[in-house]
Amino acid sequence: MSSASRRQFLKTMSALAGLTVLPSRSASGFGTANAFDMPLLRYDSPTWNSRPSAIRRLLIDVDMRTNIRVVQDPAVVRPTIDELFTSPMLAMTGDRAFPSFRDEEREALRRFLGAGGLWFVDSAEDRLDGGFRESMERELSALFPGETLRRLPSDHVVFQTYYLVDGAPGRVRVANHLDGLTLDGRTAVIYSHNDMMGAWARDRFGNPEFAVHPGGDRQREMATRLGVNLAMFALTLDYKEDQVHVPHILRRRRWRVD
Amino acid sequence: MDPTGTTHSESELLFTGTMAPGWLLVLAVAAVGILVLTWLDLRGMRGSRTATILALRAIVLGTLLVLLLEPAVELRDVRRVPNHVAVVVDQSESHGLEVGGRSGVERAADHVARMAPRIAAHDDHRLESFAFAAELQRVPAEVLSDGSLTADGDRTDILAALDGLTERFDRRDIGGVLLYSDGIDNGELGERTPRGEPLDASHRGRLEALGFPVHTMLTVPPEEVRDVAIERIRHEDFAFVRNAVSVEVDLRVLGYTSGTLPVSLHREGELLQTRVVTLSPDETRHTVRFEFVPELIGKELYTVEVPVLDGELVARNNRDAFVLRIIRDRIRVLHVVGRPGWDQRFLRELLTGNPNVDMVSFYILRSQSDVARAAQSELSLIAFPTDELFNEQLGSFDLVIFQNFTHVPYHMRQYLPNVARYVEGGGGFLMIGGEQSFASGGFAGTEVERILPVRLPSGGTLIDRAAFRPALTDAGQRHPITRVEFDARRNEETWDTLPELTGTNVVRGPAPGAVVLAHHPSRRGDGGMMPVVAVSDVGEGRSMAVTADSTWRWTFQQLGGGGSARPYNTFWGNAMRWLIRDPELNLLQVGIQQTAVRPGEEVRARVRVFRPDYAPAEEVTGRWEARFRDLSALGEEGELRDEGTFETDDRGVAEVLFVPDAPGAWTLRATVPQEDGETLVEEEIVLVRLDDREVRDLAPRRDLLEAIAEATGGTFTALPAGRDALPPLQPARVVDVDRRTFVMLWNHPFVLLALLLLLGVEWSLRRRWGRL
Repeated sequence: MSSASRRQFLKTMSALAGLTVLPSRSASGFGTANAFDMPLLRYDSPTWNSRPSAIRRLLIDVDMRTNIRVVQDPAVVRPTIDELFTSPMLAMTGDRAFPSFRDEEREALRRFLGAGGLWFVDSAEDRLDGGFRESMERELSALFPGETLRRLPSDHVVFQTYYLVDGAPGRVRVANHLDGLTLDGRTAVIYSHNDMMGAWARDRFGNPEFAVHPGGDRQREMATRLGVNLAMFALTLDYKEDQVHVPHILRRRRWRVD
Repeated sequence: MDPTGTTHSESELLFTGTMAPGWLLVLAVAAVGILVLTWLDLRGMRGSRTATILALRAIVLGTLLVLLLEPAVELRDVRRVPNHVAVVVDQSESHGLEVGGRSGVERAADHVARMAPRIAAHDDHRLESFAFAAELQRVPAEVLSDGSLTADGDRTDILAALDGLTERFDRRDIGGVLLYSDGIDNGELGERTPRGEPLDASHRGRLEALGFPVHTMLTVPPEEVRDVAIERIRHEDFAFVRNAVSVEVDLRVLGYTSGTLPVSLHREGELLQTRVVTLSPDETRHTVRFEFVPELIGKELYTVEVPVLDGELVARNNRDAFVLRIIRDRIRVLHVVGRPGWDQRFLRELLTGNPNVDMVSFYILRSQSDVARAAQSELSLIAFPTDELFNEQLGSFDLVIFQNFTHVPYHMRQYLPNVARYVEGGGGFLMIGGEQSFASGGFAGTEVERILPVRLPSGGTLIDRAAFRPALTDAGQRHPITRVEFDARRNEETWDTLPELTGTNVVRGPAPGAVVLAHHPSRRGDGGMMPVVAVSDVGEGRSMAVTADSTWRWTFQQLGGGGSARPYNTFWGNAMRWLIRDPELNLLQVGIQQTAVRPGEEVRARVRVFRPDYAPAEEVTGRWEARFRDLSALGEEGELRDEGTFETDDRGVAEVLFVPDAPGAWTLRATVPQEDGETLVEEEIVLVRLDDREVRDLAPRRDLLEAIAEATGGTFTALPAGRDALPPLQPARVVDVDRRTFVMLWNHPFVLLALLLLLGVEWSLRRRWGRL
């Protein structure tokens, strides 16, 4: 067995077994400085890290399933300029209301999103209009007055960046859609109602940490696929939408004559 | 003969009364009533007597009614004034060409010599002699009849000539026009009917409104004309680079009815394409179509040629030229990314945010070792279209970017020579670092390495993970790509404070002829510090290498630190413009708005000079020279015809004027010496051409002359005429000479006497017939 196929075999077996084997790509090339990370936001709430294994587990899936190079250990960042600007991606989870960010934290988040950052917010409060949602809307209004979370259309590129995904599956299915906030034509904030991180979370042996309702394992898989799409969206933006136009662009220019 | 005409008297009956028509009607009814009462009164009398009495009374009453209208007679003296008969002869260039041994001017002279005495001898007409080309001019009569008229006009405008007559004479005083021409009109009438179409209603109306007959004489026998001409080249004034453009050439072939005729298109003197036309007796017009792809931005001179055949009337109409201004359409970029990453993501956002960029992106989202754990139908992935991109469509792109991309898994080695040829042929190529780029991407020793501005190691350390801040070289401090700030010191400070790059691909050093703009601060390559940013000209194209995959930090982290994304945007924006040879990046720019001028017409050129930092170069002195090339020898070095110096103003702009004195291709070359000893050189072309519409179609226009004659009520004659009858002309006009007398009739004593006589006769008859 060649080294390549052996590595493939090991990766596949690791995935099947749910082992936290580090993919070879995560430690190769230029190292992890430019690799994909989804840092988790640490903020003033007892449940800021209620799904501690989720992002690590998603990154393993991203690495196994796609060509994206990922970090070995996802970071945890506070809403400060020094910590936010290590990666253009930011994740946040919560299940209850939280106090307002301080002014300097809001400034850091505003600057982060304005500079091209993507903020994924995952509600685990199992309801549409809980305290966490209200707190988030308060913060976004403070960051970008006049802007608000709006429902993302079902054909938004995030649902097709890698997998074709219907709806917004998570640990629960409170809503079948994602919300988002758009800045300068770019979706800068994506908000999930369904505790996607809860569906991603597995223990070190690969066992799911939370039961998924009502769809079971299929729903968990779909949540993972949407997570992979999120990572792909962060890195490729509207690339998949562009593909639709490629034949037209190629046809438009006649650069050869018979 | 009295030159002002003959005098005689005329009279006219007038009614000068002012009584209202209503009253007249009432009186007329009353008169009828009187007649009816008279008739009743006369009942019982013999019919003939009754009729006599009634007639006499009706005459009296009618006369009284007429007298109420106050009749009078106007007596006046009038005079017949002879009108103008204009003999008008075409003196355009085509009319002077010898067809069948004689020119149209000579044939016209023969006819005028016979017609003129007849016109002059007629009391009603006065002979006026004119010649015309672009406009009408009076000439001595003998010039028209002795054949000495010079035919060198560059236009024929019959309508303008006829309008010129109406400006000189009252339309009513023109008895007619004898127009001698070949009918080759390139004025309004000719342009409206280029292919023998009927006159449109508007122009026909204008001819009808002239009010005098135009008798047209066709002076050139169409069947004897032998000529091949490029009648017209139909092209746009500008075209887009790397976009197919088509040009249509209309040929007129007269008198040659068999064989073939090659038509060739040349670019700057080099043969581009040839088309072959098959001649036939049935068709004198032929259209050939050329299609080609302009490769470079700027003005290009194209010529179309057909060979000169034996016996041709004119040789110079077998060649024509035009200038095409080649501009850039939207910039088409092929962005090939081997692995999604932040560097590609921010570059993509920058490029797609530019409305002038058409992006065609292909990102490798899944490698062969990835396990998607989904059916293909559940994935949005498409196959990497290697052959379509690197074989079929490669040449359509202005810029190709390989970012963290390796050709190895896609069996692309066979396509790499295509990439090299594409760049050498004028394309732009950019390779950006990553663990799959440069030597790590398997490009060492390939055709792609040959076009890169860096040389690649074939083994050993291929990647250096240490963070670093690149240092500008001397060239980098001046180069438009790395000159992200106008001010040199500020530019250096900006580079010194940009966020560090996190790792680099290892390269051996710059390729021969490459320019290193930024180097690694500590890592060495062959002959110096290892290049990080390098550029080179490759054939007609350009290439660039950036060995890091983390320039995204120059925007994201820079903004996080409160800085500006401008250095990042400017760096990549300028890189793209430099790679596609955007003329706006030239430090010396020469622009001539005109594409074609006439000999002797002033050409005005605008010269703009920039300093290396793209600030306007004020008070810079340069030289210019104007060189001439004949269209038949475009491949040769031009002949120096004029030269001078210029000095820029505070905007870095200077104006250069020169006057080309001969038809052909003129090139304005500007040179500006640089502080580093090099010289900036820039050229601009302008086509100088005669107005040669006269010889672009030499087919006599019998149809047009017939239409003019028909619309004006004139006659058409093809010379030589079978008979020499003078065409019908309008009679002289009769005019008043201001002597008139009015004789009043109503108060004349004879009228009163006549009335009394009639009444007396009636009274007498009534008395005799017993009716008093």
